[in-house]
Amino acid sequence: MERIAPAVTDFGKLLEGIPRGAWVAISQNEDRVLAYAAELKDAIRKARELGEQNPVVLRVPQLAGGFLF
Amino acid sequence: MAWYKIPYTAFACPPDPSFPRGYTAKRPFLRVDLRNDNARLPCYVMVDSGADHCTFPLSFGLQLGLDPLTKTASATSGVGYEFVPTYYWPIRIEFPGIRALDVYAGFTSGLDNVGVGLLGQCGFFDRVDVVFNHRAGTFSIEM
Repeated sequence: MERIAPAVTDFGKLLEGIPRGAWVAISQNEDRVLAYAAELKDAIRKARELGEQNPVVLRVPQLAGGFLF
Repeated sequence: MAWYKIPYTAFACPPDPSFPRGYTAKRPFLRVDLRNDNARLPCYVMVDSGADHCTFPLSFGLQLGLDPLTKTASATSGVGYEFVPTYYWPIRIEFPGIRALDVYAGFTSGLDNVGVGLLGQCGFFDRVDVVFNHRAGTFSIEM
């Protein structure tokens, strides 16, 4: 029996207007950006000040090109 | 255990000299929580069978209270990088509401510019079955 898990958030819309290279703290339900900063710890600190203790974090890449790992 | 089908996450890649019209990349992303004792960091990971180990940005490790000054780094490489220092610690990767995996994971500044982790062979693919169906836009994991 296969279960359908939700897709990861549409980052294109969510991260619109966030500067490239910024670390971003997102709400737990992944529907809004709480804070962003040049350093990860600062983005998390700002989100905690807004009441979100464990925001979801990611970085807006400096370049929007392809991933090759 | 059960199979979970997950849609790929779409990323718009803008035009560049090699792809003048740009393109949309589909990437197998998951949301996970990293745990080190009581420290928790929710983040995103890409399922990557080409990675030998589960690996994360070094910034994630610092946020989890892991101190690279207490470790000797191993040299790793990837596209565009050679001999990138990577520090390894045992951590827990939680797939919220489904399962947790205790993993010996790497942390490297070489992923700080990407800002997401990689679920690689040791610790993930050696314990979890994964099926990719790129044409259908989904991948499935058994957990």
